[in-house]
Amino acid sequence: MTDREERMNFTEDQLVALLVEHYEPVSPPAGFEQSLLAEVESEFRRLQSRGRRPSRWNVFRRVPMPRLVIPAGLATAAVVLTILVLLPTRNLLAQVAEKMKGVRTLHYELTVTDAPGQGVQEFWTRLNETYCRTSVNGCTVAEAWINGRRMVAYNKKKNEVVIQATKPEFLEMSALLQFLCELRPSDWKSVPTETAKDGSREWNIYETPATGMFYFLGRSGVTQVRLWVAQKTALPGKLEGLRPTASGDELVPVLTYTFLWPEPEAPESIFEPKYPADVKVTEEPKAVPPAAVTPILNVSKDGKTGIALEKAWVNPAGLVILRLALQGRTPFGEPPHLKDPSMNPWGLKREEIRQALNGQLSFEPPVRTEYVASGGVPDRRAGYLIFRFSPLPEGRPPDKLHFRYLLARSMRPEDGGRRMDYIEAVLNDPSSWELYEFSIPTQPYLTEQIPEEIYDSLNLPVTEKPFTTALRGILAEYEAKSPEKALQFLKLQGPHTLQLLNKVMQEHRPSNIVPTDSGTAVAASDVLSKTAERMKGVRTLHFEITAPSLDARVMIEMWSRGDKIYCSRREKDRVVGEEWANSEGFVAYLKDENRVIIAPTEPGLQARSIVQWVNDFKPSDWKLLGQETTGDGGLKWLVLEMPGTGKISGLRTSGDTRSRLWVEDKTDLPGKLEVQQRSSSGVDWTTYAVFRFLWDDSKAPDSFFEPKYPPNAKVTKE
Amino acid sequence: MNYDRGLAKRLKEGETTALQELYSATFAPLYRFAYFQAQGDHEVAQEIVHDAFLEAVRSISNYLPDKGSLQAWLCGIARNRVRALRREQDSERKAVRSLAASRPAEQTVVETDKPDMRVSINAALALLPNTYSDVLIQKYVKDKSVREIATETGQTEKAVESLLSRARAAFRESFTADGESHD
Repeated sequence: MTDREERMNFTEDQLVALLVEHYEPVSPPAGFEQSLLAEVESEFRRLQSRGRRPSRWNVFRRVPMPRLVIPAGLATAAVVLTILVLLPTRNLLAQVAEKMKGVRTLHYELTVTDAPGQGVQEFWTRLNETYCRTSVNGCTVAEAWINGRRMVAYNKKKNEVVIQATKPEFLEMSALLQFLCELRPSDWKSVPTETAKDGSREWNIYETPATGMFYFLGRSGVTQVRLWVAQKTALPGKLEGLRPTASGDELVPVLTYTFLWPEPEAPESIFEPKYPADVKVTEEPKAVPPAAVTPILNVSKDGKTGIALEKAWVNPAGLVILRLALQGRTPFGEPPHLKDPSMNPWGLKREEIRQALNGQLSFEPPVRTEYVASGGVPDRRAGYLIFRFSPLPEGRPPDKLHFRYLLARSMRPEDGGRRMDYIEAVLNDPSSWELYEFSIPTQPYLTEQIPEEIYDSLNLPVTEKPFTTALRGILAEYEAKSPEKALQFLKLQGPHTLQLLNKVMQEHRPSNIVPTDSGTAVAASDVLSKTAERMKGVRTLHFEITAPSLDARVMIEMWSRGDKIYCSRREKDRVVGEEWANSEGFVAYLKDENRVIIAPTEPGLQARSIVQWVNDFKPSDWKLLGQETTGDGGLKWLVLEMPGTGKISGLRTSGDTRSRLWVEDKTDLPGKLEVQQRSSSGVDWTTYAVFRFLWDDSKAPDSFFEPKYPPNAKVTKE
Repeated sequence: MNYDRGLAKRLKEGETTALQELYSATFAPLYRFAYFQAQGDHEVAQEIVHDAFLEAVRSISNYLPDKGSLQAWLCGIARNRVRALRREQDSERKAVRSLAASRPAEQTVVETDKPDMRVSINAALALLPNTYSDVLIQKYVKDKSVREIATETGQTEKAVESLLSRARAAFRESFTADGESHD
């Protein structure tokens, strides 16, 4: 009988009785209804604006393309012809780059898809000066003048002027001009299917992953940038920032910059604020100098780039992470990394960082440092510099780091220095630097306490563009303190990118294991014998599994005794599945579906073999790798290693593998077992699975190992 | 159904007030529907409702008034989203099983969408027009008399009785039709 037929047997009265029994009031979380409505309306308007406006770009796409059938004999000729056609296309971007070199002023319109009805924003921008006019139905409603120091915004309707200090987002236009002037053809991929024709105009479209080049693009979730170039004039027509739809099936434009050519020079006067004399003027208070001056490191040879040291972390192994904020020429000046691939995303050569460590940036007391890595955040205004004390000063993580460094005089608090003053001082007078000393308190950390995103930024494979794009997106969200968005962004990436990301996460996580000397090794051998002794009485093993292949929200907890196993799978503290196994059968209950699967057990249950392995523990199998200490300096774990995992069936035994065992020094009990595989590069190791043993409560009742599920669950037997 | 036809027409023409009308009429029942499909998980329910509304505005041209109300159409979209989520969860479970114990990789997973009675009843209620679901709840869950309902809603007792009768029949129809979607 089908479900429908079963349901037809219910009378109205029976259904009413069931309604009374099962009815539950449901209230959506506060605010959800309104926020979703806003999003749905926005999407609705966006679709309408796309559908209604006969966009010239869309019109091209509607033109049916003729289907070409090339006779076999003409194939070679077609290939030659294609090459001939493509050659000028490839050269087109080079021509654009050439043409843009002479451009001083950029004139364009900006359309923000998510904000229809906000009018048209028209911009004139020069290197660090911009005039913006907002019009609604051809009538100017607002004007803004921006330079490197301030923004003056005149709201015509309110007859009000607001003056405030320049922010990064105000300088988007300067960056856009800079970007077009330094256009690198090799960054772009041609999108031939999108080529559109409009009689007299013909466009070529190029695509590149969004690289966080501009503030808006970096912050708006844009993942792809398209550049439309007019074939006849070799000038950029428009630049679109695209974002994947919620389903991830297609990319939709979020921001569109439409360039208005030919480009006449704008009169000087256009960049001067003009508003009526009787207007109300509000000037936002000037930024108050920080109580403690932000330390500035001057590491560039020409003295024109400054870096503020914002935070420092040091771990027990002497690994130091510094968060640095770039201050100086960008976005006014040229981003040097665009020209030099050896540079980091935030514009400094590694060699310069090394020099900084050995030269202007020095430590008190003097200590040798070893450069580890560096990485940057998407808008290139901050980066992480990671190095290692070698050895640790005084043998333990210092509470403070003492540096010598160069400081621009105007930044000193007693001089009332502000950031913009500083930038001007640096640009105009490099000699304004002076030697200064400072100390910054360190924040002790253990490896697991540091956000993985920082490590992810290290030694990026620059050839993997989707990968770096993903990483930068994640970092951007992380910087904006939105880990959920970072995760969301991560989900938008394809499997290849995720695979790479996972690989780098595993390979670049620094270890805080301190190598031990031979004297400690002897002591460790004693501990291992004690461990083996402790293991002999263990009947029940209780442990948790984590593995990179599993969703981070998923937690697997297992109890194992003899040949009996109970496994609980949780998501966000909710049990979603349970499994019982012994040497004969396997029972899995999927709670959400109220379904049970029963199947015969394959030989070699992994959980069972781990119990066996724990009981047969042999100290001689293991090589002492070192010890990991806690933040207070006390010994916590002995770390041991042995090649291969063949002793634990169920894990991959083929290929190059190794196991690492953490033994707790106070209890002599194994803390965790980490199984690693050789990475595809053959150089590094990646973690395959971690078994964390839970010794506090390892007594489970016999009934625990008996399958329990509701009688109405659907049972499938294999 | 004429109302739905008119509303859909206005939506296709890009009328924002039509969208607001649809939203205010269907948000609560759709959320109820999603909530029970998601086994009482508010986070998942929000995700389902979010995706359903966005999908609806994108594909309003696919709506066929002859096949049912806009509310039922939205619930259909939500149901498809639930199935997609289940498929994702299934693939996760496979990974867990292969890790938990050595098992054959090619496990036959029998898909079952058959929900329990609690889900079925609440889903059938969510598929009803608000006037029907409201009167059923007032009468049977809150145990109010026909007279009380008539006073509160400003209708005659006769009209309420008639409404109740139609609501009960619609509830049974909705319950049966929902079962069809699981077959």
